Amino acid sequence: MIVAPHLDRAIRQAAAVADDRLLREDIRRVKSAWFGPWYRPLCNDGTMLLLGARSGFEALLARLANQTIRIVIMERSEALRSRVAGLLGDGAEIYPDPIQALQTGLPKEVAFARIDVGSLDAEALYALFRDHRVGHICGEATAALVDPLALYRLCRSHADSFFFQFRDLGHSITCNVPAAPIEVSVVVPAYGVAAVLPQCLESLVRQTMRKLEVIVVDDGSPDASGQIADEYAERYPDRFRVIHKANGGCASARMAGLESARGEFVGFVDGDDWVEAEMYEELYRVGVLRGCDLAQCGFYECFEDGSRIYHPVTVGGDGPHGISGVVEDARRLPLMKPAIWRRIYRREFLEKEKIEFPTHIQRFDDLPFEFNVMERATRIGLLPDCYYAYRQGRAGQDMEARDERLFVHFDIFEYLKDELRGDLLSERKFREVQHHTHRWALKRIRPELRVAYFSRMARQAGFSRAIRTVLF
Amino acid sequence: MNAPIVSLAAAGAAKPRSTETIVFDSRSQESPALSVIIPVYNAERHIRATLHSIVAAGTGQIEIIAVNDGSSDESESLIHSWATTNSAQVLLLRQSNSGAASARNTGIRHIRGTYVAFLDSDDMFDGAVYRQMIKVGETYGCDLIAARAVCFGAKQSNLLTAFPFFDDDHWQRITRGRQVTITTLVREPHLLRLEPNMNRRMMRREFLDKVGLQFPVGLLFEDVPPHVRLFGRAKSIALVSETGFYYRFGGPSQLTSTKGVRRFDMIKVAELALEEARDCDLSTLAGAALVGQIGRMLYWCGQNIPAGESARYFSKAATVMRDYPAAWRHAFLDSIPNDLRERIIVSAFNADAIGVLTMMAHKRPRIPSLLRFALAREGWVLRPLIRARVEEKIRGLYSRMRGA
Repeated sequence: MIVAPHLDRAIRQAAAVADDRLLREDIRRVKSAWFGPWYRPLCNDGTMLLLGARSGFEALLARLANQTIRIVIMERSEALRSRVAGLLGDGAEIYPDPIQALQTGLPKEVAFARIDVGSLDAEALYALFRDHRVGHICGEATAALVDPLALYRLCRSHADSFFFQFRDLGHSITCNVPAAPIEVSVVVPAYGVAAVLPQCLESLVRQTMRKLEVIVVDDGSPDASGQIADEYAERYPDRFRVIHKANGGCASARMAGLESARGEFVGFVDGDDWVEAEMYEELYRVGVLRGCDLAQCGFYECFEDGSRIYHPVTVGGDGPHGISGVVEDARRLPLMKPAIWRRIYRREFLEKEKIEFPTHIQRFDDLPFEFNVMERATRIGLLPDCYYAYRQGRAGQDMEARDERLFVHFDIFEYLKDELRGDLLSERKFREVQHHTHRWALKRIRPELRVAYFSRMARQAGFSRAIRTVLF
Repeated sequence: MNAPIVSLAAAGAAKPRSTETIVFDSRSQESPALSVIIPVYNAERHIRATLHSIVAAGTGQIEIIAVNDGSSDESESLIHSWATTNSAQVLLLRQSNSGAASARNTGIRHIRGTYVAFLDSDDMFDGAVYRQMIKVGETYGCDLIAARAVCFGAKQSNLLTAFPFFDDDHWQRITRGRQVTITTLVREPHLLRLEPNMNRRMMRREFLDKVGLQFPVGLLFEDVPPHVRLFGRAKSIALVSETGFYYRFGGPSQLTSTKGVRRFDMIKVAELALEEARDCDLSTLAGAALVGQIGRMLYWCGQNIPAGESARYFSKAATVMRDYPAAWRHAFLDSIPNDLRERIIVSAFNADAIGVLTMMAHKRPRIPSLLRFALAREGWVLRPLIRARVEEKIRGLYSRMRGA
């Protein structure tokens, strides 16, 4: 519970005049910081705007704490207006109409604004943001009145900070950093995919998200991939950028894209895959409204003959049936094949945790990246909808390797061991991943290499010489 | 499919256009927000109430397309006179009698609205809720918007006897008290447990053009296959928890309540629904919900089939049910919380236990078990009756004592 200065005095003063039901609710809200952590001090200086007077308790509290602030109140109801006037006397300017309140009564700078759900309308909000600089804005909204993501974007680009309660979403939306010029950066590593790259880039052109940038990394591709990317960059200069570099493997291409990414979130699409039009908008919606480190959706495998297998697999979320919502600890998610392309990652999170693609590892660089991410992420948004199309059966895919190339796993696990966070849950997850990967590799690898693979596996796992002698 | 059913996707193009004539057109708005299509067949009793419910909260934004499907009563002139004395935007069409599905298909060809809704001629829809649905659809760009529904008795003229729609528990489970729920079928597979009633929702027109909505002509339960198709294909679905649809329950015009061999249509409908579901690549959980819904409907139709046909019906139904992917059927039995009866029905279909199904559907439950069931479930109804009976007994005893 939060005890604001002059709380008891304000309660006593208000009790005689204010509307009883609203007053009770307002007291509870102040005490529990219902409109977020910035709500308690209400407004320390400057101008305070209340759209919807409610009981007048908040205004009274602010007035008692600070005699110099201006309080501007908009209230449509005649009865409530007279009550608030009785409570505050000439301590507040009270207007019956929002536009009038904004135009006549309000200076350019508004330090604090609070909007009641009954007074929330788009016109007033736009007028407020058009003519005034807003410090902090908070209030209550419902999903029936306004799209939470639209409100989020509007407030984020026009106010220093905001906090809105959405009772019918079951959570609030808030942010206190300025809007990012790019919401999501998509990195597309391209090597030898000229035949299918247009399909991929075309699907990125069609994305419903507006503030999206695509960074195509031409990893010294011997075919026309680079030219195709350049054509797109010419046609859609706002959306596409191309990085040409000497061939250095998938990890180096992804790193090059990641380093030049400007977006709040980063996503990866392989040059031979494609995505559905709403993918990044929907992922961003979950990621940003629920404050996630990363957000992931389902995917489908696409075969040459046009058949598809859908994987809407997600569990553990707090939404219906556990298949959507937020997971608090990624280590509790079940193990799956690495699928780094089905997610967007908060760039700040990757930088803070120093998660990178290890360029010294030749292939399967997504395995260590995925492990590091899923080991460290604390909030993960889940969407079961299958938005990512994963092309199957193309010649030259790393996934098709059956020879010595699979020995790269030992380098990967050597590298990951040093990265481990070091608690038991991570340790267990690491063992699981190791076990699954080796099992997969042993199934795939050519029979004559199987013994060599197995013995290296045993050595890395720390089997004793005696057991190894017995086994082989 | 060997049946003479117009395939949903190809219907519009392949079928020769039926000859409809425009009787009356008072539409002035070029592009209203919503077109409401009302197939009318001998509906003179309720049609005015139906029309009025739509415009009671104002006539703007909404156009009404009434399709007179060869009625033999005064329906057409009633609509005509209503439309001339009202500022509503009405298009009245006439075609020779060819069924509700065909009338809807005819109506679809004349729509101008951004959204399309259907309404049966004896039901009602609150126009204010239509407006709220339009607003939500515009805010979130939804393909499909559904509103809450309620049933009311056909014999009563007021709404005092209204009771929740048949799927209201599923509705509550999905919306969880929220005013508006924005979701998709993959996120909320339970959506397929909503009644496949076309009347309680509206669809974006571009979305309809894309998925190609056509109703299979000449079948009962023609709503079911398009229901699966629409929910399976919609990119975004909104549920608005305000009561919009008022369903008139148990009226004489209610086709689906009749008994008889027409109930065999349900088997064909189940086949069509499966085809649609396969086409939409339903997720396993959504498939499970569909299995529950179709299983329940198949059983319910089996209850209303003449007893002699029952075994034949259930063996056919079980064959269709077992065409549904095993993963869906098992997922239904495993994961989705549902009532015991539905589990028994689906298990029986799974096991091809036709005898069990026939017995369940037709054998009258013994009276004591029925009573026990009624007391457990509907005790509050029976309690006053029992009390009255006991009081009567006591009064009788008392008077006899006094007499003695």
